[in-house]
Amino acid sequence: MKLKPKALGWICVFPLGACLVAITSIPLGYILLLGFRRYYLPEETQSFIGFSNYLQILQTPEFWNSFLITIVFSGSAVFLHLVLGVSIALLLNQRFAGFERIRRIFRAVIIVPWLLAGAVAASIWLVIFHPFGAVNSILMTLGLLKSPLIWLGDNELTLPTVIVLYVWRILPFFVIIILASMESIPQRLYEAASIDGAGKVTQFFYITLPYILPGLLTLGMVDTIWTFKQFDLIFLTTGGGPAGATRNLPLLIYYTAFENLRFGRAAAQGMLTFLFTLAFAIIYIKLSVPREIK
Amino acid sequence: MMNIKKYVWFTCCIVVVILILFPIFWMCTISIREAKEVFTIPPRWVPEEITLGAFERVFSDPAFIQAVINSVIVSISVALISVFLSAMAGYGLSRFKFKGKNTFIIYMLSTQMIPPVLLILPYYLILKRTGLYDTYPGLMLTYLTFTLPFCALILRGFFANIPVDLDDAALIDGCSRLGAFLRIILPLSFPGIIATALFGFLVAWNQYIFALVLTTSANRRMLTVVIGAKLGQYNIFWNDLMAIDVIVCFPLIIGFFLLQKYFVRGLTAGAVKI
Repeated sequence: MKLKPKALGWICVFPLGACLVAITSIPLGYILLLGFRRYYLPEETQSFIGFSNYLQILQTPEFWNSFLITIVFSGSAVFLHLVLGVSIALLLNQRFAGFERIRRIFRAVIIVPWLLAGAVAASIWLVIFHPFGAVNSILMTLGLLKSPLIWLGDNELTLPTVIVLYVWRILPFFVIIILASMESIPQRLYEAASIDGAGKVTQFFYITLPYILPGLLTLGMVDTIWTFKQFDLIFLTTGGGPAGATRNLPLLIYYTAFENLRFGRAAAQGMLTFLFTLAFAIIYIKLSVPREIK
Repeated sequence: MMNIKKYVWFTCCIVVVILILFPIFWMCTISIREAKEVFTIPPRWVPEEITLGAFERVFSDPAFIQAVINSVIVSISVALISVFLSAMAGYGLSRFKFKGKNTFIIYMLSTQMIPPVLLILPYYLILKRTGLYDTYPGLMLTYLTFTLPFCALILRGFFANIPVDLDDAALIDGCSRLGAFLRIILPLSFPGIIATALFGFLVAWNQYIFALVLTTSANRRMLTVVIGAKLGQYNIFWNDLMAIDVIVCFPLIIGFFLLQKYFVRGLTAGAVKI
């Protein structure tokens, strides 16, 4: 039976596509509708209230608080990922005679944080940053600290500590992808540059960086989208505390739905988060594509 | 001068590796100590008394064993389903030109922008109404949200690296499309299949929020939720908890190191082309 390539292509893709539509788009549609309703879970009835949810949400400080936290979390994490990711990838890209096997071992070994479950990573962080945990213990033994700091409870320290947790967990992913990109740069480019008298720094800015820049842009966007969705790590280390200092948008949605039982409102908050993410992606792509064509 | 550079580099690498792996090391060393040695000042890198008590306690808890079984069943199933569906889709995406192909890819990626927290609202309501709440199939279906798009793209990358000429040769020799796929493409892209399966397993094994909200009974509880529940207790037995962590990480770390060649190739097959 001869089928046109076009038809065959769609047939291959159909099962996965159908699944995806069933488990994402249809629920998303449901959420869209839910956002226009008042649905307090204990009550059986929902009532249609139009844009009420949205108007109310946009006027409450707790929404904007969560929005701000999400952005701060995002900006810091992605920035650190890019800077540290490129630095470590550069480090691991240096070849020295006789050290190749060691280099490969290092490269393989650093992936471990990325393999951990969010729950596992969160529990480790709670032990290490416990008032009497490893971090405080080390700092106090070295004399850098007089009394324990409450890393995951203090107003000022909690968000940075949580950011570091996320950075730590995803950094290996960045390093591996950036490193793979760097490794495909032909060595002779560097050799030619050396012969022409270019130092390491010049080589980095004129050879390495332009090569990996498109990849970095993509990674940056993907990571930002991930940070907008982060739930597990923050929920399990701080639960959004203290007093909402780490309650990002996903946590806000969770509490609105499962503690306040206001499903309609949670749906509206979720739609806003999703639309925000979508808008970010679209703007980002619009801004970065022209550069790639150059 | 050259010699010094080597050793400076090596030292820097060691420092980086130590910083990155320290939490893992700490998790391991806490899991083999008595409760009284968990929080000490100054820190004890190796406990005075090394004990496997935590592991004994953890393994003798039937709820924990049940959670292991649950996680294994769901993760393996999700991995298999993902590989099956994305192999088909990846083949279609890499071999055929059809209208809307790019739109489809963009659609797949856009599904990843939906916060999972948002999806649990309809999942919770729909699963309850269809009686799939607190069941294996219900949970597995929802996990596919995360695995399908990436698995399809990973496999598409792998399939794209196999020259179409091979397909054509098989077809000329009288193979059907399906035959060509099963006999030529699949064996050649075996690393990709492994990477995809491992990825699917990893995503499912590590899932938390879906497992938290969409199951309640003890015999459907996942490992990550068990950990989460213990974190909420007033009195936390950290050494036992770290033992659970070690057990939960263990399969992934072992699996990864055995198959890392395939996995790194899988992650970078598409990425390098970016």
